[in-house]
Amino acid sequence: MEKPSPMLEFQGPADRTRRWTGLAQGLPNLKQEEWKYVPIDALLAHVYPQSDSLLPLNQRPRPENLPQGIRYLSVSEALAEKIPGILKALNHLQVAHFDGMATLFLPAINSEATVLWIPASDVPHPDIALLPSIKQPNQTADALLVLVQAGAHINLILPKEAQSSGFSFIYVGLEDSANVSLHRDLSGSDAAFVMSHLEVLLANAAQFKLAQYLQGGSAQRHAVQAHLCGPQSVASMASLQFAKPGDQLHSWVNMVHQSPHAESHQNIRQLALNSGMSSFTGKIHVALDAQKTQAYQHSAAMVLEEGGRTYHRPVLEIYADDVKCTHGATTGSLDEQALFYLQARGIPKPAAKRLLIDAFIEDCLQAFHPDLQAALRSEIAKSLQ
Amino acid sequence: MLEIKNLHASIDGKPILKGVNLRINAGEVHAIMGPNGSGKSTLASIIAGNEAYEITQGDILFEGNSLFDLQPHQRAAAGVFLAFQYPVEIPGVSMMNFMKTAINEIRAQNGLQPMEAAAFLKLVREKQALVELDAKLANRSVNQGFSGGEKKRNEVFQMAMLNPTLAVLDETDSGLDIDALRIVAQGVNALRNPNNAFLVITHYQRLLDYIVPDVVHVLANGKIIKTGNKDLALELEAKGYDWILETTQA
Ligand SMILES: Nc1ncnc2c1ncn2[C@@H]1O[C@H](COP(=O)(O)OP(=O)(O)O)[C@@H](O)[C@H]1O
Ligand SMILES: [Mg+2]
Repeated sequence: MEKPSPMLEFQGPADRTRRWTGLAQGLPNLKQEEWKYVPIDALLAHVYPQSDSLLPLNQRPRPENLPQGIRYLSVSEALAEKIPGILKALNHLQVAHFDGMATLFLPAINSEATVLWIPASDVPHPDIALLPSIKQPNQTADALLVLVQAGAHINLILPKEAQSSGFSFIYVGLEDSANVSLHRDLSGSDAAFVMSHLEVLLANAAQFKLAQYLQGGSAQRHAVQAHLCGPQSVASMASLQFAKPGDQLHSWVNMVHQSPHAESHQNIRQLALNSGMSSFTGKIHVALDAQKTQAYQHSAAMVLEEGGRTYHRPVLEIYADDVKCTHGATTGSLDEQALFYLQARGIPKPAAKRLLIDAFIEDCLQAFHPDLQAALRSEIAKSLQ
Repeated sequence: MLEIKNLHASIDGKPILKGVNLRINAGEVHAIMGPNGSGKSTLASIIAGNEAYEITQGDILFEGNSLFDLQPHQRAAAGVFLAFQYPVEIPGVSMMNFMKTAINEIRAQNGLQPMEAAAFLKLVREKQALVELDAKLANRSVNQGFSGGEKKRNEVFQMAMLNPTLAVLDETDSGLDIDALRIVAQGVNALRNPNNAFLVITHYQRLLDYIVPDVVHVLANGKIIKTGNKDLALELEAKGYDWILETTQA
């Protein structure tokens, strides 16, 4: 039998074939996206063929021009300096329940992650764009712990170039009234499996906003888990998923309401072209004493070509009795009558389609950082030509 | 300007138009009346280029060329306009963006540069005033949350914006009160000139008191069964469709 190639060579169009082999071995697919039922060993053996045990994490390179006061260090340095928030982060990672691959990397994350420390400040910090991680041949994943002090306010941007192939883990810990927006372009390269886990911990009145764009590559799977641990904390996510022919995009979200009076929002838009698939699993978990929770989930999908597939799976686990939780999902195709109406006013069919698609995703696009928004608009326009 | 020759059309194999002949010259206003289900909207949709219908026979010439060679957007650029019986709601597409795109796409097809923003806004204000359309509707999504009357007025507004050579109005009067009817008619009459033409489809004679037609046709069961002047509309109103069906069958 042919010897599997190492991670770094695991790229390029040939990966598509490899992916299908992987699916045959029990990797997540549409019917069993629930990651916890997937034999992870099979996945690991496939994605990291030479690893008997876990390999070292990568260190993310330091962003350029780090603003005043923001620090970039290793976990051991953070521990030695008793950086506020580091123990809380490591402790959370010990006790939190993860689904999927995050579990496997936990020991390594504890010792080898990169720490980005954001101090309190009266005015918002300048935006930070994170850099791509450079993987060494035998590295399997990278991890970043973002520790945000009380009252700090910052935008973090992960451009397309900053995505890693393989697995990446991001933890964001927000102290009281901290305010973080994370904007990420998860456009896949030709790398086969792109997976990530984002773990968020919110203290009192903290606000976390996520805007993510999934597209391309071949198989992508991104998990987000936010713990609303303080009253008046708010977590919101916008996920825009554009499955092109042959793509498989999965996003998985869990909003965990542990404290009363917290709020969460999930706003998802999925587009699928011929033979593209996109799925969304969105959970809302409301603990017994998380009264007065407000949780909202809306997922809308548009199948643009025959053979495209989209899935929504809302999961509500509500143990408190005085809560407001709403969820809704819609799937449709382009409205033929609307198309004709636009055409009858002089707008050619392709432009008319664009107008309808733009209208469909606009609400979700608005959640993105202006720079990223502009890039996404032109990227989507190009893909729809 | 418009010549419909022996037009047969069907949907899902069911014949709806069974040999329609009609000739409209520049400067004329024609009215088509007829009972529900007689094929009036079908005819209007086919002129605008709706592909849901299958043309089994005949042709439609517009300024000498077959409309069937043109896609819907090309027909609009050539000067054909349809005011829809049921205007479509398009969530998320603002009226302003829609109109600007429409005008500039039509201009592009006719080899013109996009309209200047200031000129566009001026045109919008002028035409809104003409049909007394509430300016705040312009900030809404196309037809979304519009009342029945507002939707109809919005059709006339769009017609005024695009200034077509041939405008087909499909029951633009239905569901309107007298005031709204007057406003719609005012919009149409303001656009009338010797170089354009109107095909006004209506179920009631009422509208024709305001938009006085040169020719009135009665469409029944997929065919034009009678053609006359504006008195035909009055007669029809007085005697009902049964009368005409009986007299023409005889
Ligand atoms: N999309 C369609 N699918 C099936 N039947 C249709 C469709 N459109 C029109 N028809 C049928 O064609 C006939 C004519 O309809 P229409 O042109 O709307 O009449 P009118 O506008 O004169 O009331 C009716 O019997 C109607 O049921
Ligand atoms: Mg009709």
